[in-house]
Amino acid sequence: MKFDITWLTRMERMKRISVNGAALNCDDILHEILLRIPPSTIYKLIIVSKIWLRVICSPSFLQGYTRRWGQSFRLVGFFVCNFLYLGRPRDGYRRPRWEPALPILSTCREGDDLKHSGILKRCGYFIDSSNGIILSGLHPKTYYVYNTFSKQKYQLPEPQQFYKVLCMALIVEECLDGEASYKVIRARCECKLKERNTVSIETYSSKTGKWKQSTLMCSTSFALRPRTAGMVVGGVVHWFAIWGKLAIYDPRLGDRYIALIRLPIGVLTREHEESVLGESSDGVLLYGQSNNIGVEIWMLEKEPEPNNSAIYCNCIRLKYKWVLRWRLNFKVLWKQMPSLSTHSKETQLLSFLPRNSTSVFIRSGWNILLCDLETKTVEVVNYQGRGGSISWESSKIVPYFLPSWPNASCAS
Amino acid sequence: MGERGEEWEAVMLRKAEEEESKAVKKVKLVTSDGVTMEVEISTVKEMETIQAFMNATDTDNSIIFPLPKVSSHILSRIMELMSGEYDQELVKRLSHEELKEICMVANYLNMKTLLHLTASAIANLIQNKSVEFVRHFFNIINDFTPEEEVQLRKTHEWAFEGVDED
Repeated sequence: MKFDITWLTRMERMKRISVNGAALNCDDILHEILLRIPPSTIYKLIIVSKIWLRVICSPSFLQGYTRRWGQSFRLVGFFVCNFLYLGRPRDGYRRPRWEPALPILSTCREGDDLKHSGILKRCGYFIDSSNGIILSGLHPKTYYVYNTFSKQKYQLPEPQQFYKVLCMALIVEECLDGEASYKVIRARCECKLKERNTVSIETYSSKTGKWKQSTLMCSTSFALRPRTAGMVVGGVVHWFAIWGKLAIYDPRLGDRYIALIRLPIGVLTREHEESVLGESSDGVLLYGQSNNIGVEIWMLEKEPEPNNSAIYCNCIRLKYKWVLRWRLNFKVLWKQMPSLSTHSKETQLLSFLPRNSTSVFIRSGWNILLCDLETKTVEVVNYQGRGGSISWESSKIVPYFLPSWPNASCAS
Repeated sequence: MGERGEEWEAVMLRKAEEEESKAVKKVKLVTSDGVTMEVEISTVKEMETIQAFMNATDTDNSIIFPLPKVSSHILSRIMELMSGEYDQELVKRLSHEELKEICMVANYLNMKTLLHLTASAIANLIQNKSVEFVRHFFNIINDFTPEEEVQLRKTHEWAFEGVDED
């Protein structure tokens, strides 16, 4: 009977495992067990021992874990993005000295720490955030990317293209172990409504460290809505376009097309004031609109065209359909919180939550409410900061969520 | 029928003999306490570690396989689980010690179904339990200094919110 090498190494490992007594602590068994523990418990187990901390924080474990359980996020605060300053023309409205450029309404200690760290003072204005990565700056030349995990701020090289009016998108491809790979897109918005079925964009990639210009084609004439940030779902960018349309751009395989679809028409459509985009728990685009009467929310279903057998479908070869998910009359909220009804004129849909199909943030006066659309219940979100000092009308209020990832480096 | 037919028949016969010899072929597993257990070759199929060894060594004799770290008690428990087609109820009846040992053996012998089953059972046992319970269950000594533990809890405040402490 012969033993081959692989067998011997197995035997060796076995011996090693049983010698130290705590055999279940060997990494691969621990991996198998911890992968099966739900998100509510897993992260507090980092204090069991140093081995457990190391295993739970390892990128390979986190990757396998999020694939199995999905990514969970925690709210840190709300960024205030005042449009008057971000794309300010030379003779535009100046920010008063007392007003911070990048205010955060903190909702927890981490938010307080970020606010007092001073980092936000040198980042320009807020543009967008995704997976804990913040994109900020000042149009048209200065942009920063701040990575909360590595606490590193990076100034992007100066863009090559000059766009007088633009919208942007931040695509975070991967963010593990403090290292993030991402793309930043600037897209030109035509301000004069010329007949045009192309749009110039410029893409920065963290891999190449460079900006690259490209021209996207669309089958009909269109223009992107200025000063918005694109919603990225599964690597596909969604921008609002003018005339009640949505522009879809899938950069993943280097295609240069834009699909244009009409936004859904609901009972509020004619006089809606707010439009926001989000992502459902199963990775589908959500669209919400509101006025001071209520909220309507749709999801965008897509399927390949029936005569298309290709495995990969470019975004222009898909069939899109809006499906109404929720309709909520704000009266339901006033019944629960009568004190809020005094702000009824000033109630609006603020934003979705990351990878969440059932909750939204709603603003009512200075109050920010978390609304569960399934149970039609609301709770007030307490934040640090003076609501009265915010120009709600000219600002976009964006929740800042961090992925719930533990960090082993904090222990050493 | 001709020469070819006969040839074909001979091949079939040889095949059948081979099958037969395979069917009776047994594997002897020798446990840490010196007990020899004879198991069918089909049983060993799920033990990928042993299977890999058998594929690598081309032997006609019945195989003796030493398992120096597996007790006869644990091996018979594993046989019970396998013949019971990994019934959840059987798993529930195992003691914590048995469960842990079977999980280790499943990993060592690379038995995918058994590893999944026991790892899930252990995960069920420790979820929503206190950190102290988990340490006790796994015989782990806390190797953090009190300062380190406080620091970890502080930097991961979000992970400990809404957790009932021990």
